[in-house]
Amino acid sequence: MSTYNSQNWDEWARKTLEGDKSAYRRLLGELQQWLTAYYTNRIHPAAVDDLVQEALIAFHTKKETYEPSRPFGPWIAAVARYKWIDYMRKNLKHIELEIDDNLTGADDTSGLYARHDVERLLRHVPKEQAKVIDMVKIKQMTVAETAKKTGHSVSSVKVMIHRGLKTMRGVLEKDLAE
Amino acid sequence: MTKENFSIDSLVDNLTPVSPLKNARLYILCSVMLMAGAFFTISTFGLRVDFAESLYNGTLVWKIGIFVLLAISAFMVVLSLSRPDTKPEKWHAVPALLGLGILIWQFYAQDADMISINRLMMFSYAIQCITTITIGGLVAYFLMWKFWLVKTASTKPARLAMVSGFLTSSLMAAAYSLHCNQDSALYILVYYVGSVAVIGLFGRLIGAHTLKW
Repeated sequence: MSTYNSQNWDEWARKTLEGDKSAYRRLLGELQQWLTAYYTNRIHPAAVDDLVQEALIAFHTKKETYEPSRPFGPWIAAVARYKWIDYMRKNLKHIELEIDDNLTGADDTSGLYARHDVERLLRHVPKEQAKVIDMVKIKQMTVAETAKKTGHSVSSVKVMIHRGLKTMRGVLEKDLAE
Repeated sequence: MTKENFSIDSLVDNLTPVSPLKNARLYILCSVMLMAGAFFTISTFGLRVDFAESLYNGTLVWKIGIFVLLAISAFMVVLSLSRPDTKPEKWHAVPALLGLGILIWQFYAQDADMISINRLMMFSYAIQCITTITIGGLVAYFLMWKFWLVKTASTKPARLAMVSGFLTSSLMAAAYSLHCNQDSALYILVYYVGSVAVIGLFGRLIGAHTLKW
């Protein structure tokens, strides 16, 4: 397992900027392992490979923003974090679209990943909002069923879900700012 | 490179040497934009009619100073937002706050006539101020886009695009001050600061998606 503080990373990253393919290959190999470990505990396991690829491509296309006089670890960590938060934002957006289009419970793959990942953010949301999001998005109940069970109107359930998702987005923004 | 044809081998095959993004590039770009703006202002409109007097009594200094200070803050914020591992510090706002302080001080220092609403009614002057600062700011913005922004990797792309708009339009406002002799604090707040804000907003609108990576 590659560690975050690998001392070789700084040197390989510097050589990569100079066009050294052998250093680049070694760095990518270690980064692939590190990124896989980084994302494994954060997102649905089936989506990890995709996100690792996205982060490696981001490294490839944006490597000139790495300043060789600084350590490489914080730079790649910031890239990994940005890609993760961007992915989570897309998931929240996906869920909002489902709610708006009354596609709750749709059994598509991205919806499945989104539901899995959103579960992790629920603890940041007020109890009542978390409850309806959990019923609709995790337990796969329809908005109408949730409304009946909680005693709220359908529109009120939708508003609560939107507010909850907005709070979650706020958590992600805050996370990115830190 | 896309996810469809991704492999470590293809990344390695596509590797070419690159020069790291240097802060000096932005410094040179801003200096060139400021000088070009000043050259355009003087060659097209000429220096303000009371240039020597305004220089002597300090009017030109505080007026240009407001926008140079705003540009200095914006410059530092743009630099810190351009890389994923750096972010703006609170002290980056100090020059902009000083500029704001100068403007507020002028509201107290100027007499009632200078800050009266009548000062806003000089539409022929105002149109020239607004068009020069906004169009000049836009031209500078696209230069900045081409030579700086496309090379950045910001974790806050919308904010970077907005502050870049503040930066380019502030430079244009500073340059245009060499010609404009409307020194009312209210006039500067509405037409100058307003134009700077418009370019910042424009930057935010186009940058939110296009600077994502």
